[in-house]
Amino acid sequence: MAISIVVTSGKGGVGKTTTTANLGTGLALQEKKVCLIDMDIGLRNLDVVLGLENRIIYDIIDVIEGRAKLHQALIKDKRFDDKLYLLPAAQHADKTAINGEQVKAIIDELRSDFDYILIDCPAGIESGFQNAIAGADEAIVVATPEISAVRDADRVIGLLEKAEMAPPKLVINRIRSKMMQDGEVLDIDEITTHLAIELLGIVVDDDTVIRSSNQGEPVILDPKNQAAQGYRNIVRRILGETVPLMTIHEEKKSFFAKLFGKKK
Amino acid sequence: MSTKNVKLKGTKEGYTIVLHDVASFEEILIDLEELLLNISKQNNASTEISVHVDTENRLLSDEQLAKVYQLVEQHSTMKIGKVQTNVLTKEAATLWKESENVATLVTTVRNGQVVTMPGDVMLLGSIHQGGTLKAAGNIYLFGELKGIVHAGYLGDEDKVVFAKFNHDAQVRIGEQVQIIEGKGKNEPLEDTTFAYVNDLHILSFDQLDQIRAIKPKLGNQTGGLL
Repeated sequence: MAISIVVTSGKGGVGKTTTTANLGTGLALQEKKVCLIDMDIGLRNLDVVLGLENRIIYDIIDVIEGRAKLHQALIKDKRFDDKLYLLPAAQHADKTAINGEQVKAIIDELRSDFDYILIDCPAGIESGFQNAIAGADEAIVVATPEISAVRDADRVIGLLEKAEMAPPKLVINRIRSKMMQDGEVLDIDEITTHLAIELLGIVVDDDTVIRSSNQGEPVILDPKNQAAQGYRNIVRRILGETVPLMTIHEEKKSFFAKLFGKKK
Repeated sequence: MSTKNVKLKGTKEGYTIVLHDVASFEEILIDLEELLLNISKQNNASTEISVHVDTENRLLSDEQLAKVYQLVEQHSTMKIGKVQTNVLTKEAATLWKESENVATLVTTVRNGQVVTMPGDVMLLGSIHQGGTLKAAGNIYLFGELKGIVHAGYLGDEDKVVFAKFNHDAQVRIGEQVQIIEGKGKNEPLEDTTFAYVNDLHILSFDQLDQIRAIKPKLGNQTGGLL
């Protein structure tokens, strides 16, 4: 039986879709069978981040309106032999074309075939958000170290607590280590204590994340990247392992190291 | 003076018509009419006398009460002051208990949430920016206050708010509002203070040790509703 996890944030542009794509890919790499559901109806882009946009034949609205069977609409990602599937959002409809009961029915139908179902939630707290959380057992709240993102995360956590699901967990995304070290933005402790929920992991801000999204290859596939390491740690924590929080401090190079270009 | 089911009693506080709860309401009306006629025969005074009505262990509906009022008005010069009874509806009792009770909440009031309580409330948790805690009674806050607290929100300015006012926030009591501003990160923590509305209807803050002087009645509820 699959666990369904909704990835949400309230504020737009903090990295919900990127996080969903990377965590899904990471779980698939760990030999788990994963289904990603894009609930951002009308503004789909999870397919783009995964590089699957050309393979969409049917979407979630086609399934709900009976034009296609659920298994016909699922797109298999060939890179991860039979482990990663995507149920794409519709581009022509809007968020009112679907309701929470229907989402719940789809997720329940998928449960027996998968280990994890990740739901990519649209920004905002209106009907699209309510639909996305309707079928979820757990929630991951993504925030960036900005006051506006933390405020919106706070609002969303309140709504999730009201929906009576397991306590949501926090991912802090787009951390700029230098700014955080200099105290120019909220630090991880401040955000976590303020929001008073469990910290699932942190991901540093890295240009590669944007580059790889543009290429349709989730960054987690890059073994050396620091952001990918953050995502991999989150995946391991989702699987129940205890992984220490990675340090984000940039090592300061000594004068001589700078001078002679030695590695630390 | 009495009939079988209705009795007129004189007490220290004046006259009381007792409607016995063992009789049916129809019998009560008949007996009440008889009693009132008897009284008016004996008493020709034209002055208005105030009288209480005691319904013992019976609750009269609004229509039944209206009939009692009508009879009294028709047959006598008396005027009904207070209607008393020994019993309460569950609904009224719940409301009463809630308004006297100190509710204990263990939660965080987050951005966008409005928590409204019918009586006093003790919150074991913080109020975040954008969150609001409203109570008809006093508010005792054990977490951080960064949002809005509103004590006596139904208009009662006797109520107080206990909290550590260490952050930018808004405090409201009744219709008075005070905005706390300019609390930086590095300022020393203040002692627990409380907010109240003073004689000039200004919302003010004071140290906890001043509470007995300012609100002497606050602490004398020793349990028990009456």
